Amino acid sequence: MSVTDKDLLELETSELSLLETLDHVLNRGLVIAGEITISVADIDLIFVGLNVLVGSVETIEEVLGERAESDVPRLND
Amino acid sequence: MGLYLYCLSDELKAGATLSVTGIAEIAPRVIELGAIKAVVSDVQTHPVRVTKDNVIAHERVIDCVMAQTTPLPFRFGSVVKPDELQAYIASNEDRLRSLLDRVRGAVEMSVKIIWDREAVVGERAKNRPDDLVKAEGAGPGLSFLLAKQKQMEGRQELKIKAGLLASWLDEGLGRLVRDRVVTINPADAMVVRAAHLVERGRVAEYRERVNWLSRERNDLRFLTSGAWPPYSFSHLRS
Repeated sequence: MSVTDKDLLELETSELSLLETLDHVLNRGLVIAGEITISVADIDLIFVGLNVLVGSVETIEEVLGERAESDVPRLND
Repeated sequence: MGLYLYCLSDELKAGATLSVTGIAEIAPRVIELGAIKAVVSDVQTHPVRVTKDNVIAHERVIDCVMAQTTPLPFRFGSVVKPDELQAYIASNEDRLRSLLDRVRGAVEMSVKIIWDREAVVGERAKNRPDDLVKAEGAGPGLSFLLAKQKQMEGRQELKIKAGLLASWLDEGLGRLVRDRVVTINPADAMVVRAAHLVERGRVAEYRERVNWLSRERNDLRFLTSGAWPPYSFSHLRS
C-alpha cells in the first residue's frame, strides 16, 4: 500500500479529524512491554489507510502482512 | 479476563467510577496502586478490536479524566492482569510520578506541517540548471555518479529545509510551549509533526499564535488539533 503526497493533500477535514484521533490513540501513550495486542480482523480499511498516513510504514506493513497470513491477525507492540 | 488500561493519575480518588462508558460499554473504575491510581475496565475479550466504537470509547474515558486532571494515557489496546499492572507501577513509580509532574496542568496540542514536496524539489531543480549541463556529454559512469550526487544533494537540501521549518515553528511559539516532541520527515509530505505540551490556561493564546504563523506561510498546509491528553509525553524512556 502506498499513499502519495497528493492523497495526503486532498484529505477532507472529517478524515483528518479521524486520522488525528487514530494517530494519538494507536501510536502513542504508555505501553507496558508486550501487552498491546489489538485485533485488526474486522477493521474498516479506512482506519488502516488513515493510520498509514500517520503511523510508521513498517507498522502498517506488518499489519497488512499478518492479515494475509492469518484469519485473526494481531499487531504486537 | 483482564484489565483494560486507560490512564494513570495521582489526583483521582480510588474507588471512584466515571460517568462515561468505556470499552465494551463497561463503566471504567479507578483502582489504587500506591500513590498512583489507574483507570481501568474489566474486559473478557482479548485482543481488543480496533473498531470506531472502541477507539472512541478509549478516548472518551480519558477525556472524562482530562476534565478533572491531566493523566498519563495508555496506548489503545493495553490489557493486563492485575498483578502485571501492580508490578509495572511498583517498578516504575518514580519515573511515572515524574512524568505526571511534567504534564500536570497541561494538555497536548498537535501541529503537522504538510508541504508540497514535489514543488520543493522542483524549485531546487529550477535553481540548479548547471547539474543538467554537467551531465551533458558525460559517459554512463560519470552520468551515474553525477545523478547520484544530485540525488544526495537533493536529500540533504530537503533535510535542511525541513529542519529550518521545524525551527521556525518552534521559535514562533516560543514560551507558549512547555515541552515538545518534534519529528521531521523530509521525505514525506507530512514534513513536520510537532506535539506541544501547553498550559491549559494558554491554549487560546497558543491557537491564536499557530493561526498567525500559518498565515505567514501560504505555501504550506497546517493540520492542527487539540487539546489532547498528553499521549506524546507519556512514555518511559528505557
